[in-house]
Amino acid sequence: MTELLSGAHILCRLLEEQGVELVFGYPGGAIMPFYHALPESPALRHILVRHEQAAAHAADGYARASGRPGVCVATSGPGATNLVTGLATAQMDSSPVVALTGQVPRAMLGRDAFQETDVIGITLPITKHSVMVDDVTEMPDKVREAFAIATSGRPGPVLIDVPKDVQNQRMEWSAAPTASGRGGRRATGAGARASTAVKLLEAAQLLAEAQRPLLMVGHGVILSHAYAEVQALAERTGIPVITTLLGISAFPASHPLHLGMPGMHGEVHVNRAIQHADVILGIGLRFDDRVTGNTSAFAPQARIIHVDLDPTEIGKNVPVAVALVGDARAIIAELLEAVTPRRCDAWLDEIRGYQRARHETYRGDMAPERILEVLREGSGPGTTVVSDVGQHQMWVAKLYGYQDRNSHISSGGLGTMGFAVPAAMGVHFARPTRPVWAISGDGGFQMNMQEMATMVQEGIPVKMAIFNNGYLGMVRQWQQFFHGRRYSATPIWSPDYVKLAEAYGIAGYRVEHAGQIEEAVTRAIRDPGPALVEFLIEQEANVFPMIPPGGSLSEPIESAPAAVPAS
Amino acid sequence: MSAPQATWILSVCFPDDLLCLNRAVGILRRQSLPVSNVALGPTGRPGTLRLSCALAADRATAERTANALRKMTEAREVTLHAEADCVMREHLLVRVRVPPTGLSALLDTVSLFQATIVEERPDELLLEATGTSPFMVSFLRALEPFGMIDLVRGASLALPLPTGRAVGDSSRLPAAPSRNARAVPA
Repeated sequence: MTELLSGAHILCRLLEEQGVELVFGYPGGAIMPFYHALPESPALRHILVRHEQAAAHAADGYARASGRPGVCVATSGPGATNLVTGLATAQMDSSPVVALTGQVPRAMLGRDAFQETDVIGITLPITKHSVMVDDVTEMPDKVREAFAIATSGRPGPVLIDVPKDVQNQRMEWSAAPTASGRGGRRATGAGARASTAVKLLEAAQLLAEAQRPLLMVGHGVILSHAYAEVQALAERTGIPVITTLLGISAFPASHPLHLGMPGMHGEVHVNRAIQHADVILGIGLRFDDRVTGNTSAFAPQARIIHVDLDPTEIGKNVPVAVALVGDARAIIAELLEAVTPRRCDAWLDEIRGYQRARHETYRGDMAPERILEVLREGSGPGTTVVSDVGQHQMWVAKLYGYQDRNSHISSGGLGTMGFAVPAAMGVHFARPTRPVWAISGDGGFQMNMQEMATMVQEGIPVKMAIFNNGYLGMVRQWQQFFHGRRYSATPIWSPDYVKLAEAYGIAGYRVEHAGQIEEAVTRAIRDPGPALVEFLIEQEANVFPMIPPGGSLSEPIESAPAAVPAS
Repeated sequence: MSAPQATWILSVCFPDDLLCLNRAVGILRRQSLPVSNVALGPTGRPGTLRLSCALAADRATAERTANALRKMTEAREVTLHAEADCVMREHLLVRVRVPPTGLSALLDTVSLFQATIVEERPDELLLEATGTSPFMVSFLRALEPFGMIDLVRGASLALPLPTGRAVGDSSRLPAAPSRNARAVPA
């Protein structure tokens, strides 16, 4: 059966066809036909955010937690440009976000019309793909293709720009697909399989002969749901496991083979293990500079086996001895059959010998460890922690102890302050019955705290924790270490967060000493709606250890330098 | 020690569409590498454009750039060749003054470089020539004394050689700088 429908109605039907249930957005002039059609698609729930950046982060959070594409909508001009940071965040962290933007009518394009921006041009380098629907007849194929591109292969954001008059154009619509979306471009021929088989044997051989092997696990393990396969590989071979920032929660933190996080703020024993390793099997990570430090000094003795879905990642940052291109889950499952069971007890003993007592000292008793311990115990299993960016992000990554799969979500590649609160809203909709914490610093929280209004209006029970030290802490730490303690523009004033929460109708708690942590966290968790807990932590607490930018993993800073007057 | 530099010919084919061209150029620009001789034109396949350029880089960097282009959704083909494995040609149109007593010398130069006279006027000639970049430099140097009024010079078009064997037509022009010459004649 066919119907005569507008482009906006067809867009809604296409979203339904793609299984979309949730749309984060903000209306405006050029997207009004879409919003006019939206109420006729009750399967699509719209979440009205308070800023389009939050719509993109929320869609990203939903996508990361659910594994399904997250959708955000904005009008043309400022609406579209406000999405940009969220799309770049999704691009860097391989998250399948589909952004729909209204555009001025086709006849007005290129005339600097009201709220016209070339959003396709703006987002070209920060999306996996971007496309304008030039005519309503193109709508079905372009929308289906957008969803296929966003979710196939290595996921990523896709932007669809729809001029207002195209949204109003009418055409005969039939629910039957007119064309299939394009799939990922993977090597699946017999030649590719044979080549992979040889490389699997090479990889298995390297792992069997290694004296000091390591598994480095990245976001790709979470994206491909290779949890069981990776754990089985580790247990069969006894190889210790390192999880990158986005690989955290791909492997249980309490597992005896789990070492921790590598890189700039990785533990000393983790980085030292990398520097002493003779074979590293990297699964679904891109060896970025925050992981490797100075690449020429990274893992100098190691031959690297790299498993990645994206062939362009192979050899991009570090030289690779064996490349296995494809889905991590499938490859590790095959590798599992090829490896020889073994143990690495002597190597594990050696790594344990590298372990150091923490050097952090905190004045008072508001240690991040204690706060996170109470959060973890109070929230229980099944909790998702969404962190923002900065010092607290490192504490949350290293000290929480993630047991549940994909229970840690953060902006890794782009390092987007302001990510946690809106992304946590998206996570809630993917996991509506499970607790979600958004943990931010006082800087990042103030970047998107307007979303408390969204939480109240839409009934989103995200629990917000603010690690308030009165500084943009990570930048302040760099200023302390590398800029002669000149705290330029890093002291940051905060409003009274408890009163602010109350103004939004949200329960708010301030924790000034350790004795208050448990009660505040417990009350926040018990509150059926959103709740906010502000932790007043030590102002000049630092994250240790630290590899200086561009430095080698072998040379960590483990204590703050003596105070040097600013020159 | 830095990796050895070389000149690479990078080529990407994509649909004949300005957005695709914009995307390809954006990817190239983002690598922040010395790119020269950017050329754009149709391919043997209808509706497909080829963008090619020369890239001065080490092999790993050149391959990384090619890989970045391969991630472009619309990329139909991306190839990377050492400059030495390609045949390269430029196209030149030039208007030259005819000196009152110098027509004979100008015609000798035109003949030596196997240029074509496209249009003749009493006081100027419009010439056309193809050849390698060094050949063009030599030709233009030879024309300088006559006085050039205007010229347009296309970027090098490159096609990889199937065997890697240099294809030259210098045997036909023993006395002149070869239009396929890789080095500028002294």
